[in-house]
Amino acid sequence: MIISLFSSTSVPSTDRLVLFFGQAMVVGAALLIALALVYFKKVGWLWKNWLTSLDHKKIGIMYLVVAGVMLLRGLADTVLLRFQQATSVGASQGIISSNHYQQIFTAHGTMMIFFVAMGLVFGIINLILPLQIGSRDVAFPLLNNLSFWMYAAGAILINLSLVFGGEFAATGWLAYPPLSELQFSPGVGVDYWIWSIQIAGIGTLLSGINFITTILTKRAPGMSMMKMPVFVWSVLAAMTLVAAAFPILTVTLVLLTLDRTIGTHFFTTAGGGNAMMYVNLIWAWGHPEVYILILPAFGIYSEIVATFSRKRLFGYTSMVYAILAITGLSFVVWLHHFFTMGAGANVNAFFGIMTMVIAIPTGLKVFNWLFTMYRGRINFASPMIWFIGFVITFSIGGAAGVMLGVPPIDFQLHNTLFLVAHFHTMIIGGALFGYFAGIAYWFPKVFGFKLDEKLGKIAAYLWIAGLICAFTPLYILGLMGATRRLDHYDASLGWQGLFIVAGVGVVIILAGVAVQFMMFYLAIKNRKKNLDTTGDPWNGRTLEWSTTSPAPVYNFAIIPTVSDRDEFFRRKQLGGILPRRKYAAIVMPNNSSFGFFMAGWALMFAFSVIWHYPPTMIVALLGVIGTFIVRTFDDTTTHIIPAAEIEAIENKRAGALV
Amino acid sequence: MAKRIKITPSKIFILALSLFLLFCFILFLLVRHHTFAVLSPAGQIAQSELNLMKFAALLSLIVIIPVFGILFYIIFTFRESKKSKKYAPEYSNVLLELVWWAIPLGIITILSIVTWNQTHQLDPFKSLSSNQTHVRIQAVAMNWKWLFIYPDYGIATVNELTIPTDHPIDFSITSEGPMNSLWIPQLGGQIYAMAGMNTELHLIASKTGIYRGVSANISGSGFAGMHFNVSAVNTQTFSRWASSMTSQPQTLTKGTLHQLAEPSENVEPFVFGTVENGLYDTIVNQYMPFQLDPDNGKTNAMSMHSMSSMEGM
Amino acid sequence: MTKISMLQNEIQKETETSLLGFWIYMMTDCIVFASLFAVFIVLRNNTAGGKAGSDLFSLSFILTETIILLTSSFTSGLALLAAQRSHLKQTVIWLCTTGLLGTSFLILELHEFTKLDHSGNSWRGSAFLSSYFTLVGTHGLHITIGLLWLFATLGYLYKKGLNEVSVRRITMFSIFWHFLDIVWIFIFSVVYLLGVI
Repeated sequence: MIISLFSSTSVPSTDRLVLFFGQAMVVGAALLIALALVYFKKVGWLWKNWLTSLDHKKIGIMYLVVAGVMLLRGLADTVLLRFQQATSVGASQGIISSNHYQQIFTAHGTMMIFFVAMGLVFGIINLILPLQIGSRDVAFPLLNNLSFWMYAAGAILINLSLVFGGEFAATGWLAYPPLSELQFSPGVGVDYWIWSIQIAGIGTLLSGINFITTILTKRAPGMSMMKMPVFVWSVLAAMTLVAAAFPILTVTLVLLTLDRTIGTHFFTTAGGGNAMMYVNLIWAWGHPEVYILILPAFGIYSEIVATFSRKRLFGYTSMVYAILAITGLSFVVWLHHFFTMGAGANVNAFFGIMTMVIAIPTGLKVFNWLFTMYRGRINFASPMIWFIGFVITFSIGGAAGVMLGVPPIDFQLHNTLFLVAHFHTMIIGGALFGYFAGIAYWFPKVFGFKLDEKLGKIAAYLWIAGLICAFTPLYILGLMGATRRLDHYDASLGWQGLFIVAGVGVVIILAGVAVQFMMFYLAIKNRKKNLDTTGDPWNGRTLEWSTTSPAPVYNFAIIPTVSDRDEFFRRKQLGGILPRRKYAAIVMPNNSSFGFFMAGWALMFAFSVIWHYPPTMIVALLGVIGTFIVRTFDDTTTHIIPAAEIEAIENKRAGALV
Repeated sequence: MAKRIKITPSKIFILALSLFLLFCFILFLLVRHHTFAVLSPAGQIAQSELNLMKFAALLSLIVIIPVFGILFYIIFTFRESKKSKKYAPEYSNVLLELVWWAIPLGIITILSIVTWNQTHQLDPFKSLSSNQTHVRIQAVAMNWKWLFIYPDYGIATVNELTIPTDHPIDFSITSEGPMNSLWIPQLGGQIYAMAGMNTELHLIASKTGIYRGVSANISGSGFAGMHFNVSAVNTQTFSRWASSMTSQPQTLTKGTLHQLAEPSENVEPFVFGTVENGLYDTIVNQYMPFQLDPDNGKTNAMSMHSMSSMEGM
Repeated sequence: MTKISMLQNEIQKETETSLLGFWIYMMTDCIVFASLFAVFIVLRNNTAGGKAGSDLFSLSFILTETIILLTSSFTSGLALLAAQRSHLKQTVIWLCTTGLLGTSFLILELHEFTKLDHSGNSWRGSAFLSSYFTLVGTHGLHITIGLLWLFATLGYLYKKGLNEVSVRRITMFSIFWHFLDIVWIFIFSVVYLLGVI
């Protein structure tokens, strides 16, 4: 028989150990947090002040906390992946089985994109956007809380996959069918993948609607569109992409769910299904998603470079048009993710050229940032270190991207580690560095005290060095013909040394992360010493710096009137303190547990579908309807802060400007 | 107490630069004896793709080098401690802005023209012109091995490929299960293998040798073992090889296909001396009860084109 | 400013914001349907040897459904007009009519679905049937959600009467319902008319 010719691979014994360790970690962490909360009698406090809060600043902080936790989870995966690839050579099978390895890189990609990068983006947007446009909150605070909880529910579900079932999708982070179909992935892994990003994705979609409306309706009087800070523009563009792209993701995931649960034939091999349609649909969402991540980072760089160069942003109008151009173009390039599918030369060439055209507005932005620094007085605070790291790595990654955009070159580099190195340099060097810069920059505004600059700089240097050390070998490996997602390779290929160097890079990055956590810990511990009493620690230019640090719950006692792009800078130049005005009472939304329960029902529904258990599915649906109706009949959704109370709060502001 | 070392930007720069050079040197030591498959073409297609890669890299450098130059010049000239007299907090320059639009625009225009031409030139579906006979190979990705059928010789191989040099090789590619990607980097770029679909790839080897081929797209747990050696031999050796293989005892028919398709990992190469006619078409059409033109693989790809353009609406 | 006028002012601003937000939501829902239409058009000929649309659909039945839904759209418009004129009784009557028509539409659709299922043409049959059931079913799901929303609004009217909030809700419901009507017109033309011809 033919079968006898085939050898089978043995499963390394460490495999179960790794799984058990992961389970213990998730369960242990959850128990520890729960016990600590009960022991310190903080459950009520947490519920009242945080979990049910509709304050955009608190929601932003909660996003950042969840994203930070998920970053650690994603990094733990990275360590396993790098360890496997450094050791699984020739006769050695490494520490984990191939299926487990595939689950881990799928989880790594899913977590890093949906729960780390997206969490950081929405955290930062929540923290700063309403302040920057001179608003008291977002357009729909209740919806904002719901969005956060949907995101958190997705994050919880992805962790549950480790504990219940102990299986995640082993398909790659975009789960191409037919591999992700029931026929080839019969377990619950793919279902966990589907539902965790489905729930989080719906939350993201709601956030997109919320922030577009916020920017369009809640700007301070006088702030015309062309007077908005570039960060606001970048968020508007990114949220437009969210509103246009995330429905496609929702639909695509629903269709895959139907294929897997009720036996439809959208992407199956049999029954006339079309798997290529899935690839088209998922990238029609997936490419805009890349820009959803990177555009807000571009916005952050624009704010930072101007502030720390003590200069007006160079080429504001060009920047805005560049953002709009990128937004539009990001919808006509998705096919470059699969030139190798065999579309004709005309189609491939069109999408290749469109891909390169995006490099024009992007290149322009880099030049404009450089010329914002030109003839400035540059203060190399930690956000600027991140920025310089960004320019260096992003230029190299961008050049690699232009190469990948040429279809015949892509045929040779697609699915290789060159591609992996490219998108990691873009997402880490481009997006993540931007978020870190933004956090360093806006931290005092949100918390009222400053981070340690020295540790911040060390973290930035470590991250930059780690990024270069971890991914330069991958560019080289790609050129040597190493494809991505390999759990094993022959020793004769000579790849091992480079994989070990890449592993060293990961260790350097981990050191950077450790320094960052130490930085947060020390900042909180020594917060009394580092208070930001001015509300304007960096000599800022935009409205968020005109209020106290931390900003009061209502953000601005009196909504500012805007007449310049750098409104706050203009005011400082005019001599600062405005005449005292009479404070008026402010209407603010009440806390609500609506989002918490809705997301809870969604989580329950998803979990029931994954395990094919209709009774709880029905309970969850009734729960959604019931919660919705209860909210509909609730008339006590707002409260009023009287003028006297505002005056008392405002009088406590010591030495605040304006 | 020891004198505190003052950290200046130039010191950081020099330290970073020397660390980077050391890093490059280590990488050089690690790779110097090994093959860069993408950079060592053994055929016309891979060679053209490499040339294009070099050209694109060169164009990118035209932007990157000035960007780095400007970046470091600005960092050193305009940092706060220098108290540059040229400080101009409201500085703007429309002309410069236009230049920043123009430079990338120019470069991308050049690259776009080249892209358009080369994408048509190097279309994997395009048959190669040659005065030598074409060798047809039908590649089927299975869980987790490659089946290569030589329809003109009535033989098939698993996880190994023997081809004659200087003869154009016409691959027809499909998959029994999940999506895979057929890639022989030293001969040229990859193309997906998809169930119920027929894709094409046209390659040629100009040098004899053994080249590594892989599946580049994840297809399940045995995917890392889906590599094979491609032996490029001269025409006579190839003819001898093909006729000697027909005496191999193993037979592959529509009836025994499912046995081969059973999942298996790290399969050692072996040969089928006899292959039933029309087997490949059976594999492609097994999921397609409705009408499909088997002679024209393009129709499949075309159906994707029409979908793509619709998506863009 | 008194407390009440302040809240009043706040509610008015909220109405404007809510309507804009709701329009943006409608855009995203448009993209959901656009994607489903795209999927249907790609898969409509992939019948896998099974029956095609022309063998399955009865135009007269679909036409009845269409007329019922169009009428319900009209009555929802009348309800909104009545609400804007602060005419509670008329509002309730027209809303109830809309609800009744919507429910009958839903029953007819479910009837069609079960008939198809029983004749051996369920969503498992082929890619064409999968995409048909999903596209039309998604519209049906929207109708169901709309009806639930309608009943919740009626409950609110019963308890609190016509005020700024209930008029806003009826306005948004009406937009939603008209939108579903437009989607149905597209389904009628693309799925049924093109399927039968």
